[in-house]
Amino acid sequence: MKMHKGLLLLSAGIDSPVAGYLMLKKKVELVCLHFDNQPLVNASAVEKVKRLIKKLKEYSEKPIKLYIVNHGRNQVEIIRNTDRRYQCVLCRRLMLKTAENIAEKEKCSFLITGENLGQVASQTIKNLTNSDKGVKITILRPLLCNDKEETVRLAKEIGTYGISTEAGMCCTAVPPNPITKSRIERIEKEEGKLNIAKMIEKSLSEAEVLEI
Amino acid sequence: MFRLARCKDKGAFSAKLENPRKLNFNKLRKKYKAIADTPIVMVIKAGSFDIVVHRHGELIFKNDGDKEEMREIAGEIYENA
Repeated sequence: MKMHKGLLLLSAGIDSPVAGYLMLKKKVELVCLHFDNQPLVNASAVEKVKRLIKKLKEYSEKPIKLYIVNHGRNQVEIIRNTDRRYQCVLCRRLMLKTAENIAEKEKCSFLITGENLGQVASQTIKNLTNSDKGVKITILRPLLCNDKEETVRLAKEIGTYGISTEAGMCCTAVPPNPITKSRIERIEKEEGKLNIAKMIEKSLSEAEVLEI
Repeated sequence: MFRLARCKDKGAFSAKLENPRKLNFNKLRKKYKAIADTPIVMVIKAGSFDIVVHRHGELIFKNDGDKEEMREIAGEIYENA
């Protein structure tokens, strides 16, 4: 059976490492991408991600490549230039567009995320759909309909839960009232206030690449 | 005036005003070096710390260190803003 290759958007949280594990179980080769929100947060998430990948490596037949892309700078631009309520959706779309570029470079057939329906503002059906419209690549979401308890159980089973729940620093860019039912026309209007291509280009050119 | 405690995710210390108010970022810009600067959140260098300053009044000390120094810096920021 042909081994497919996917790009996992890996945060330091509970869900995305479990999503990665489920894909590894299906013999998918993983490349990982972490969006580093410094300077808006400290370096703890990056350190956790490296350890999470070391844990995932136990379930992988191949080494796992990790891209670390600075996203804090992009968050600052989004805050400065757009309607605050759209922060999460715009952030998400930019992450997916950046990921699509790396996926192409790494010959990954799809993106993988740990998104779960309704868990946070960017993960309503409307916002997920509108985020997906920003890219052409297929996005797989193995945890989309999981109960949190199921995901936590799996995370404990595979050994990532302890790492994910260590002390960290939460994203400080989340607005008080993020939009949950976005309209694509409004999203694209807000996005037009940013130089997305330049932001992606800078992210890619300054990405740190490691092999774990 | 303010309370210093671990933030929600426990990875940093956070100062919060007992009577929340908006901070004056223009005044802070004159006094501190800004690593990141937006109308609603700044990251500044003060003493041994990098601090995320929210306009609504919360300060998050990104790196660990001496708590007395944190208190002193938080007091100074609130006084100046």
